[in-house]
Parts: sequence; structure tokens; C-alpha cells
Amino acid sequence: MKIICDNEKCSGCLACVVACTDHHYAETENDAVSGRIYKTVTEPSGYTRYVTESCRHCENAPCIDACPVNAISEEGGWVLVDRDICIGCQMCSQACPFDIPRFRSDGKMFKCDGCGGDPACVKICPNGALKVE
Amino acid sequence: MSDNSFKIGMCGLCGGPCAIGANLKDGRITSVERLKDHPYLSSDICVRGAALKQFLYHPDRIEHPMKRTDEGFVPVSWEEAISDIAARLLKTREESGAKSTIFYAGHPKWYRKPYAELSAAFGSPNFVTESSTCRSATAIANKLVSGGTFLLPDIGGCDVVVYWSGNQSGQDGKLIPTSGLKAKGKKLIVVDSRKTGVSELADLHLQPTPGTDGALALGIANVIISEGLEDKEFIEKYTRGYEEYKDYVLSFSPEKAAGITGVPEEQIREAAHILTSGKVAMKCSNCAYMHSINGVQNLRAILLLLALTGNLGLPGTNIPAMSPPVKLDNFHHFLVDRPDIDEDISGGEFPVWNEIINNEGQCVRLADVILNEKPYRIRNFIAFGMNTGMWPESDRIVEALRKAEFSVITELFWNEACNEADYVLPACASAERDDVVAGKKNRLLFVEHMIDPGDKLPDVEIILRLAHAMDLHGEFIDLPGYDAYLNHIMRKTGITLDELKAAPDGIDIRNSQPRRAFNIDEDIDTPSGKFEFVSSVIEKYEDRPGHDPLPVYSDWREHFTEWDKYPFILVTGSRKPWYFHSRTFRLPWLANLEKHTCLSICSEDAERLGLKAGDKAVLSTPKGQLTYYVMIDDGLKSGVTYVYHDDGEQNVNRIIDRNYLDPISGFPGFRSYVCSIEKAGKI
Repeated sequence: MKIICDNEKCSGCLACVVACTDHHYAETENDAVSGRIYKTVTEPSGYTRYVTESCRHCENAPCIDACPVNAISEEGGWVLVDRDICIGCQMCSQACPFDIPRFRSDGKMFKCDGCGGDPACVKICPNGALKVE
Repeated sequence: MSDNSFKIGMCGLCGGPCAIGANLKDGRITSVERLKDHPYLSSDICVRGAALKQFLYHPDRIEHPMKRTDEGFVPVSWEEAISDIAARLLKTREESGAKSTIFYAGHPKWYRKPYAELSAAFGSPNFVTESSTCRSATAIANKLVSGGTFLLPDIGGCDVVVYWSGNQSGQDGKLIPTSGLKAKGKKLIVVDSRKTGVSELADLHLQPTPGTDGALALGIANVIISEGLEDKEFIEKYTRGYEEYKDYVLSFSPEKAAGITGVPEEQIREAAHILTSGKVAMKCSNCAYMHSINGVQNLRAILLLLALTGNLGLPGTNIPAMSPPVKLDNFHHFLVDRPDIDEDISGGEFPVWNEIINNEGQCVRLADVILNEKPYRIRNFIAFGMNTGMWPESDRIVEALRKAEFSVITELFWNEACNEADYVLPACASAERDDVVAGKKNRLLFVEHMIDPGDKLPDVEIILRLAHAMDLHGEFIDLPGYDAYLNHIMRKTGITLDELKAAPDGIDIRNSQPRRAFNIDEDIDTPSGKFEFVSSVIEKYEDRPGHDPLPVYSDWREHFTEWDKYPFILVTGSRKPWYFHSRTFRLPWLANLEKHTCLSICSEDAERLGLKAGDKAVLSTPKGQLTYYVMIDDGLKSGVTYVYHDDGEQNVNRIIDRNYLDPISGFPGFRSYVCSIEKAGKI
């Protein structure tokens, strides 16, 4: 399972980024780290915008192997992190080929959990650019 | 035991009419959802709406009416606040006349109908609004040309769509409406000084230097007339002053327009050819080109392209708005007229405005009016929604509020205006009040509040209570309360609020009285009854600077001489989806998406200045300096910088000259001003 983005349809509005935050945090958590991450791209015309991505939920995910405390596991096609077990060593970050893991102010990892199969980011996208595959 | 539920309500974070779904636990919103597949409600929830719970439960929300005392602000009852304010207003009216009270309406606009009536019934000419720097200038230009305060583009029936500014993808992130038009085979022209998601989809993107839109329109008109492509029959039948316009336009060659605007001559010619290739609908009800000291004339020049090509008032083109929508009578364009408008605070400075927009005044000089007591002394300032950052040299507005003898601020959040007030009244957010909504498929729906408002009230309820306490009367303000108001605005549908509340799926209003179609032979509401190339309103004031009855182009850059010192063009106030005015900077989930506040420049300029993304740079104008983070945007022209909204300290309007105004509309030149940029620490 993974959430993919069609960059042709994406406007870079970041609704997916904030919808992820909304569904995973209380409003008082100002240091929230979204499971969708974004970067700036410049098109050949000069048009500059954001594109977003999130965990690809790899088969045989290298982060699972890299985690020394077994905080990361696969469940129904989604790669999940148990933040109660995570010790914040960032080994997953070194193992991830896509630079996905992010770390909150408590030092522990946060990333896309697939929202149980019905992701908030896919639901909010105003351009239908995101889908679960 | 906890109680989980799902509710449908209105987001309203930006004032827009978007329905939203919310998951609640024990009456509190835990997360929000787009309503997928709702048969009647549009759910265009965007990045801002996704942060709704941070907005609704923000610690700065005002929870109770607050009164200034010697011991600071203390909570008081609504009864005490309303009767105290009413007594004060009546007493000062007796002593100094009604005009010494200003009734100000900020953004959003939904409560303006009863509010304008309150002001008029009180007797004050000073009903003024944030449209003083937002939309009224657009309304003035539209009215001067077409007789309607805005145009309804018939996008469905046209062959060519023009977006003259108005970047939808920057407003709410949506590209589908634009890509959908392309899929239907319509040609798309976009005019925007920067490259955007929408301009990327255009068949032709014209990228003029900010503030030069009028020159671009005149250059296009020149090609049309020179090549004999104008609609002669239409011009003959429906327009006024064509010969004079033609003479002026023929002096405005495409070469000249290209030199002024930076748009290549061949693109100007191509635009002229596309605009005469079929029916044209133009989205041009925005304010970007109005934030220029030649704004009204620039937009007149743009709109007159429609008159020139026969694309006004006919099906498939652009229809002047005549009357309020029949479904719900809550539209902010059709307010009650002000009494004694010649005595309003504009002091006769903007006569075209007062002739055209008789239902609200121009308050761009608010700080000077209060501080200098000119044209007269103001004793009370009553505001619903007060963002001091809206005005150029904003700090003076705070100073003026400090000086005001008595002020009442109704707000969602405690802000710098509240600090200076005598009373601060808490307003409901949209999610905290009931509403009636005209949904899709001619459906009228009752949408209940999603969360408990506590002691907060809907703005309209506060307005009604003030009117009742002062024994003022009128169609709206005679209504007993908010429910009666909702019932009243839907009266033309023939359905009552109680009937609507009892219908969970809403009620079909297909059979209620439809809006009468615009009849070009009878309904052109200009003084001449024709679309006006030469304005018969401006003609009356032609001895005043900038008041040329023709849409004459005057270049704002001639206003400045120190180009060595201030070589950059400063454009402010454009939107990004996660910013709406300065409203979202309280919300860390939105404010922290970018290092804020930023100034954007292209990489060529950044390199020249020794700057890279994330560096700090000092932006200086003739009115001061502020420091911003640098962001690189190669969609900008070299020599142009965009600074987006922010609140408080970083608000760039603080350092824009308050006297740098369009002489017709009084609008500040927010989008074509001057500045320099240097690496921080260097100076």
C-alpha cells in the first residue's frame, strides 16, 4: 500500500499536509510534524511550487530492519511505527532511501500511518491528485 | 462515557460558504473532513479549513463581553455591555450629531445588511468597511463602464475565458475549475505578473510589470481597432464616447504598450486576435489591479476591451449584476443607502466613489480623520472585525484607536485593536452559529452550529440588540433576533425557517421566483444608459487630478524619482492557499508551513544581491524598514518582490505611504510600490 501523488494535478496547496496534522494531533500540539512532507520545485517555465510526498510503505521496508528496538512493523500493507517503543535513534532515517522519517520535539519518529486505509490527505485533496495504491 | 459524533457545519474560516464535516468527541471537534458526495452542499475545504480546530479553540478567542476599567479589562454581561454602549451612542448623538460615530465593518461581509441599516437608522453617513482597500474600487470601475458593480462572466456559454489576475490556485489550491474549462475546448488567457498554477494552464500568459495593466489593455485595443476587428454594430448601438476613445487608443501602439508593460509585442497582438475569435467571458472582479494609483482607470481600460469586442451584456459574455440574488437576501452589495453622504469622513475627496457607492464610505484616511479631527471630531468608533494592518502606515491606526474617545470592537480574536477599545464583544465563528445555505441543485438547507458558542453571539444578534436598545427601526433591525433574521433572508423562497429546520435534506427552491434576465436594451444602469468609453460620471470632476473621462494610462513609476535608492517593485497582499489576509498567522500549523514572513524574489535577483533561500534580508521603503526571510520564486519577474500577508510586526503595510492613493477610489498602491532589498547585517 502507498499514497501516490500525480504531480500534474497537484497545485502545491499543502491541504494534505495540514489534513494529516489535523487527524493525528490535538490543536494544542503546535510542534506537530505532518506525515506528509513537501519541498519546493521550479518548473522549466519558472513557476515555483511545492510538491508533497509521504512514506511509500515499502515491501521489505529497510526501516523495519534498521530499527534496533523493533518499533516499526508492517500491518496489512502499511508500515507503522509504535512511538511508545521508538527511542529516537534515527537509524530508520539513515536506512530510508526516500528521506521520509521526521522527528518530533520528543525526539521520536513520526511518519504516514495510512490512517487505517482511508487517508485524510487523499480525502482533502481539492484536485484529486492523491490516491491509495 | 465519551460521546463520539459526526456533524456537518460551515467552515467560514475565510468567510467563504464551504460546508465541512467534523468528527466530535464530547462536543469538541477532533478533526475535520471534506464532505465527499454530499448531494447538495459544496465542500471545498482547503488547507485553511484543515486547521479549523486550531482556529476555533485558539487561546486568543474572546469568550465574554469585556469592558475596560481602571483595573484592566473585566468580563461583563451582554445586558450591561449593550445598554452601556447604546446609552453612550445616544448621548453623543445628542451632543455632537450622528456623524461623530463611525460604524466600521471588517471582513467577512455577511452581517452588513442589518449593520448598514443600524448605521443609517442612527443617522450616520459614516458606514464604512474594509472594502475601502479591498473591493470597492473594482465596483467603481465596473459601474462606470457597465452600470453593474460587478460582472457575471458566462463561463458556460463562452469560447474564450480570460482571467485578468485572480489566481484561483493561490486562493484555495484548486486547479480543477481551470483544467475543466480547457478540457471543454475553451481558450484561456491569463494576465498575471507572476507565473502560477493557473497561468501554467493558459494558452496565452501575459506577464505585465505590476500596475501597468491599463497600458496592456490599451495596447490590445489598439491592435483590435487598427486591424478593424472591433464589433462596430455593438459599439454603435450600445456604447457612448467611442470616437474619443478610438483617438486615444490609436495613440497607444502595441510597441508603446510593450515598452511600458514588458509584455512582448507579439503577445499583445496574439491577445487581440484571441479576444476577437469568439465569445469572451472575463473573470475580472478581483482587486489586484486596483491596488495601484491608476487602478480605476486601469480596470476601465480592461473592461472596455469587452465593450470594444461586443462582449458585454449578451449571453455567453459578461452580464452586469443588477439585483440581489433571489435565494437569500444576505448579499453585501445591496445595502441601504447612507444618509447625508456629503458629510461623511471622506470630506469630499472622492466624489466619484460617493456618487457610485452611496451605501458605504471610503475610510482609507481613518487615522488622519481621528487624529487630526478633520473634517470633524469623531467621538465613537464601532467596529465589527477590526484588523489595523489593512491600512497603509498601519501603526497610525492603532494610534488613532488609542485617541478615540470611545470604541467598541467585536472580534473573534483579541488583537491590537482590542487593546485600545472600551468594549470588546465576542463574535461566533461560523461553526458556532446556525445558518441557511443555498446549496447545489436549487436546494436550500439549514445548517446547524457544530459546537457550543458559549457566551459568544452571532454578529447579527449583537447588531439587533444594539438597534433595539437605541430604539432604532428598519426592515432588518426590527427583527427580534438571529433566528428571525435567518427566516427573513430566505423570505423570497416562500419557505420559513421552521419548515427548513424540519427538512434534514433541505427544500427544493426551483420554483421560487427566478432572477430576471439582463436585457441589454433596457438595463444598462449608467447615466447614459450605454456602456461608457467616456465616463459621464468622471466628466463632472474632470478638473481634478487623475479624473480623465477616458481610461487614460498614467504610469505609477513616474511618482517616484529615487530609483537608485529603491530599485525594486514591491507587490503586497497576494494570496497563498494557507494565508488569508493576516487571519491564519495565529495558527501554528499554517504559519509554520513556511519560514515567515518571507519576501519572494527570483533567483537572478537573489544571486545579484548575494542572497539565498532562508537568508534574512532588510526591505526598505521611503516609510521604513522590515526584515524578512528570503524565498526564491522564479515565477516572478526580475526587479519585482512579493511580500505576503502577516500580522503585527512584520505587516508590510506599516511601511507603505498612506498618501500613495488612487485619486478616484482612494485605494492604496499596495501592489506597485518601491523598495530596496539588502542582505541583513550589511546595513
